[in-house]
Amino acid sequence: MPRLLPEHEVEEFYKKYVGPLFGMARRIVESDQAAEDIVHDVFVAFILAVGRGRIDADAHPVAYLFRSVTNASFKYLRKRATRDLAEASAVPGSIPGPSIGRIAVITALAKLSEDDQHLLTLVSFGGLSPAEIAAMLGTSEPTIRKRLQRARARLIQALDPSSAPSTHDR
Amino acid sequence: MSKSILDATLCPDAEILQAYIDNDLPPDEYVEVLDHTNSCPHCQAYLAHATHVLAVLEEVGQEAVQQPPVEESYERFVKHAPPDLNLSGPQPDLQLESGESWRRRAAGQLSILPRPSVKSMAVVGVGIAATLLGLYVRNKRHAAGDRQPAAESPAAA
Repeated sequence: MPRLLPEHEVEEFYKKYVGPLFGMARRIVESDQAAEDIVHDVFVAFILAVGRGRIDADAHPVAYLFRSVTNASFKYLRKRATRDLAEASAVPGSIPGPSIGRIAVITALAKLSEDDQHLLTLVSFGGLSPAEIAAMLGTSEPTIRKRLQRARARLIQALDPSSAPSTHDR
Repeated sequence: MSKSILDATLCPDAEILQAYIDNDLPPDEYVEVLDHTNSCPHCQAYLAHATHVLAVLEEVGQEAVQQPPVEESYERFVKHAPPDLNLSGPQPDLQLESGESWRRRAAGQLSILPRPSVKSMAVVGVGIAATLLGLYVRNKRHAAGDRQPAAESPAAA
């Protein structure tokens, strides 16, 4: 039967996970205010979803929170990029050229599939180990390692598709 | 001898190179990829690019993040949470109303309309009957009036 989380559980849950969730969102969006707003929105959605019986609070709630924060952070980034590009295009010559730095890597990350984004973000920004992710997602560590390798390879190729190695003759 | 993981004419694919970077290959495969990359400028360029991208990713992950104090953050969360979460009061019942309770409530709403009394119903009934009788009599008279001139015309002729 659907139930809302009692307030003390909400508070306990919030205080336990706000740190890693905020850190992850903050590294993606580079804004304290935006990161906190994202985490708050995700918690509200989570509490409502539990109350309406859409997710079970006892089954992988952490995975739900991490995935939601990753998605919301990249969504925020895409919105901001569109706005920045619109503002920059108003001034001729103000759009910077591509360079593989922080922005380029985050932008490439934002274009990957949701699963790749989620895994790379958990490891690189959330500081979780493959073993911890495996436990959280209910799968094995070798599976997560393999998926991580594929996700990293896709990120690297997304940043420079011409460097894909198997396309070159030896 | 184990089967080669490298194609005779192509470089190792990105996944194998990634496993090589992550030091996640068995020793014989690792040596095979190492031999290849030592003599392949394309793979050397790819490895340099990949190492750089992963270093940037790691750098971003290690950026120091000043987290807001948890208590204050929670207070802001409660303050800005939508009212239907009702975090500082009794929890709302989010369950949808069942069809039965909805019907009962609708019936209750209908009961507030005034019930017609017997006297008023009798008055309305008598009024309708009188109107119908009047219409019947009027039609009869009209019919009698229409027939009379036709009967008189041969006598007049």
